Amino acid sequence: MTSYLIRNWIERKWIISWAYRSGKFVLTQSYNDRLPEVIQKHSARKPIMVFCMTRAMCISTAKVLAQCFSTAKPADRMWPTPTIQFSFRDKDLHSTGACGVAFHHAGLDQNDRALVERLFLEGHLSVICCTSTLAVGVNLPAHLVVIKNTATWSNGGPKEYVDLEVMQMLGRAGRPQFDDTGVAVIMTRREHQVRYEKMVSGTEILESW
Amino acid sequence: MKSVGSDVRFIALSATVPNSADIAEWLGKCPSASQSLAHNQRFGEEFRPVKLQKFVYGYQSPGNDFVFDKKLDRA
Repeated sequence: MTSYLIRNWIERKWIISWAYRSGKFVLTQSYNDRLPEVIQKHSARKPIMVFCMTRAMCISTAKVLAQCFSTAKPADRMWPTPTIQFSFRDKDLHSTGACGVAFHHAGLDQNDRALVERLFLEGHLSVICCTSTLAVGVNLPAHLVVIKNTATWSNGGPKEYVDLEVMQMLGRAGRPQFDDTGVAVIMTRREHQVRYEKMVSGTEILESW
Repeated sequence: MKSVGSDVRFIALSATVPNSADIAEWLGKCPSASQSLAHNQRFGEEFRPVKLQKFVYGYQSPGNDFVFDKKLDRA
């Protein structure tokens, strides 16, 4: 496992399956803080976008991250505290916003949505939890893009993303005007891991049969 | 397109297709020289102005997508 990790590190691409780690305790522990752990490791305290499956999950994920922020000691916080005051019509958004966390989806009030976009671009909000629709149309570059679960809501049920959607979401990572690197993380079920690994490394061979 | 013999000169392929040379071979240079490879040019990650590091994390997944999603957040 170690040599495998080192080899992948050299290629700047990691694959980690929690189940490979020893002991059940480690496994259960790591369940609890997966998203915060990913953010801690990769965000470098820069703007973050988290893609979620449904609108409701955007809200719940934003609440969890806001709670993480407010319960952490100021020195341990994973992103900066907003330096200005702002107010949203949406109550949930108002309370997560105070922690530098927002959610963004098509059901949100027009003014709130525009304000989220502006505050994120200006650096007052550090995290946006959104659905895949934000990957097209709105130009909101982030340093770290996380695809949290590779499913989307489609035709009344959860479906895996198609390749193009994933590429569009990953394309949000990196801010040409501020950064010289961007980071994209795909969090998926272990059985889909190889598929996404092939997709991001561009080794999915196109064949006709 | 190959069979109708149209006058298409450029074909752009998706970045998700790594085996563009196979497609160039299949397509051929022109109908009269279908055995020779069409010219192909590849623009890879090195052309990116902002380098992108990509990570894929796989997690054990008991339960449906809602359960899985919650577990990805926290307990």
